[in-house]
Amino acid sequence: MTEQHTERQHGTTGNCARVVMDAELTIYQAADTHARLLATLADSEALEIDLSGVEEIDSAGVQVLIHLKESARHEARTLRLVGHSRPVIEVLELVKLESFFGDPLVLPASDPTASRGDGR
Amino acid sequence: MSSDPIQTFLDECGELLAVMEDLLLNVESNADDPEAINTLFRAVHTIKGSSGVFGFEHVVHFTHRVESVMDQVRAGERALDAELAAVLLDCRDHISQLVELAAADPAAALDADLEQHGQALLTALDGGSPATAANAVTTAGVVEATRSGGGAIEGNNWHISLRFHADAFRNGIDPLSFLRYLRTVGEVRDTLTVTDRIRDAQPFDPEDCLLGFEISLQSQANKGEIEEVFAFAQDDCEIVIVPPQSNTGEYLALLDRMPEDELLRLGEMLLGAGALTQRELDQALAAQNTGDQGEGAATRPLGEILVEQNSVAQPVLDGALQKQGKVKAKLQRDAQLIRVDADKLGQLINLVGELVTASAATELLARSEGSLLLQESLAGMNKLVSEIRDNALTLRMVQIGETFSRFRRVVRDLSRELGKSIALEIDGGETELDKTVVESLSDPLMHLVRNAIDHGIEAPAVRAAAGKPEQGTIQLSAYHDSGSIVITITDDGGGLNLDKLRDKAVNRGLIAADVQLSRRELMQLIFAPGLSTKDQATDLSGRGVGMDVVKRNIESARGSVEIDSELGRGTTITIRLPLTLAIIDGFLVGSGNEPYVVPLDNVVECVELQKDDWEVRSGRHYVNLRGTVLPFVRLRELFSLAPHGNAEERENLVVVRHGRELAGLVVDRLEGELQTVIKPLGEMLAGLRVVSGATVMGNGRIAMILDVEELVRAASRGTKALAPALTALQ
Repeated sequence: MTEQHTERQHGTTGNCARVVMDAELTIYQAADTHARLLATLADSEALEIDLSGVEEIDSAGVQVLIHLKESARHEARTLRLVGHSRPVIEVLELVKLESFFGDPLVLPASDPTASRGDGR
Repeated sequence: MSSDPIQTFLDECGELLAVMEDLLLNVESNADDPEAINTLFRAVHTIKGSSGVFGFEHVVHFTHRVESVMDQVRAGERALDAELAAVLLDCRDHISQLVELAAADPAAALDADLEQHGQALLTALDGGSPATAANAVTTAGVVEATRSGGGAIEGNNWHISLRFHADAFRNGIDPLSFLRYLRTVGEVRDTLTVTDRIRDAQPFDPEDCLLGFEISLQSQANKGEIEEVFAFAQDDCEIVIVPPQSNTGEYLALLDRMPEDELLRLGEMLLGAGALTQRELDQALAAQNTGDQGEGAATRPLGEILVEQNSVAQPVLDGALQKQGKVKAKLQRDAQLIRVDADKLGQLINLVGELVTASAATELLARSEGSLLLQESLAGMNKLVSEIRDNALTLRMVQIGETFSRFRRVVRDLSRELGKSIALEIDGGETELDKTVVESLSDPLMHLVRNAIDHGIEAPAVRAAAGKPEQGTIQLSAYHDSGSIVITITDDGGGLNLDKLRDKAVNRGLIAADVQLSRRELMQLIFAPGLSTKDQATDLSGRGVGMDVVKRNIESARGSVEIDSELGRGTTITIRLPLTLAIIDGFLVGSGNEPYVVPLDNVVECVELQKDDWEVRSGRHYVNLRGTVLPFVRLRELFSLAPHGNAEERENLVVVRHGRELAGLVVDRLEGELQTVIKPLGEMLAGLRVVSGATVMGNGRIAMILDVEELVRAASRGTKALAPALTALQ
């Protein structure tokens, strides 16, 4: 399993963590990513996950996000997904989970390559 | 079953493509057969479906268009004529290419040539079609809905419930890909992702698949077609598909379109066609159970109750019953098949071989111990062993028809290329033979068929001038004959010019100019290396390197090949191969101190040899067998064995047969039947002509298995005086 390039930034407002996801959010990274994000979530009141760089997401990736959301709810923490890339939007529409996550979806620029990295 | 899903997919595609080819090549006889057209449609449909699951976009796009055309044909909107069949055949080849490319690298872009070729084919496909609009994949459902005449029907929503198993991810299943593919079957009205299991998992393992979906789908597809979307997930997912309410008028059509791969009960069928609700069915079943409980009284048929209940109209019920009968018949026809690794079968057959040898050893032991009880029990066991042997061997038996059918394409393509008109007739396609034998047969057959097309059948003008029909005929046939399979390739072409053949053979120094050869011997010269009667070599054949290779290939599978030809009338090539390469029933004989095995199928009879009956003339031996002259060989002379006791006094004649020819083998002892496991001879002995293999007997001794064909030949020619031409052939 490859080491991920997830960055962690501590925001200014209280104990809020922000994680920028790597290009792939699939079964190959699922266990690793899930463990990291869950640990981060446990340390923070709010977790913001930046999905703008995600080029590939599969069922396992979606499942990780679902579980984090459910865990956050259970412990009354906040989980926000931001900067959805095109592949992420496509998948969320496919499984109709937009309202489950409840985050506003902003369509990135029409050129899919331009959305990479700065869709926030 | 292969564990690699892509390999399974490729295997399946290969089979479906072969089916398509076969049907399309027989379009004359199939054009009006709804079963055949349906099979064609389903083949295309299944390829599209499976490709969609793997995300092979190019394949899905292309097959979708082909499928649309097939659907028109199926609906009777378009005729499947020779022209359309030709285009579809090209489409088949294109699909095959696309599948191969996609399987090698799913993400690869099509190269320009292939893309263009595909476009050209699609244009050709749309050529005669009234609906030429490009049906994009995503609009499939809508297009079908408008075509069905009644307009899209509200309330026609299917409900699909999916619960993936925990191991789905590990088995390479990505549930999302099925959701994506489902969109090509119809319009997904709503999706509910079931997250309960994810939330409640303690602990949550991100590599377990805990996803579930409830989907509402609007589609004109039938249940089988929707189910096929999930074909690759079947083992990793609970799938429930609830059919929609539907129009009464469509019930019969739906019933007719139901998949024929499972035998449904009447209620299930009606339910599946939407003619009946679950509630109505439950009610009827309850009525059936509580109704007649009287002793011996038969339960009332469900259909009767349903009609009485006004749940189903009589015609719909009749339709369902008729369909049920059809499915039953079909299931009986193609009994269930299991894919088994060929290596496993090979192992099984090897083990059975060892078992046969071991049981022979035990029997020998029992005989020497003299225990009657043991012998009796062994006799029973031996019967079972030989049954197991036969059964194990039949497992590997395949029908030759499939091998034959492949030549339809060869004949069609090559005859077109050469500007000839040739029909292929196939006879005895159901004849079975060992899979390993089939493999050794396919190259030689290909060569012989190509020869027949290229050298055999003349150009139409030449045929017309000779007073023959312009269309030539090539016939492939197969039948069983005394433990062998006989395959003949017959053409009604020009035949062999024996004078020319003789000249060539003399030129090449294969025979001396003054040697006298019979017609039959002359013809066999065609199998000599470096001989071809065609003046000019073509791409296909005629380079004179073929027939000797054919002969060698077939002989290496312990077979033989013969040719018979008449100038101007045609040529028949007869291939004779053993049914199996592993185990045979043998007849054990002894000569000198050595045991030999003759394949029992070749043995005609055994007689005691009277000294007065023999005649020895110029190195050949003849015996007078009830008035007919029979050539014979004496094994003792053939193998230069020391005489065994007072052998001259008592000798036995075993009459053996190969094809039409009979010959005698003179042996010292007859020792009875024996199950023989054939072991090939090593490299060193591979050149021996009269011995085809060896076997280990129960007492551990090794017996040679005699090659009856060679013995018959040796007997009729005299063992020592082989004609020079035949030396060249061998």
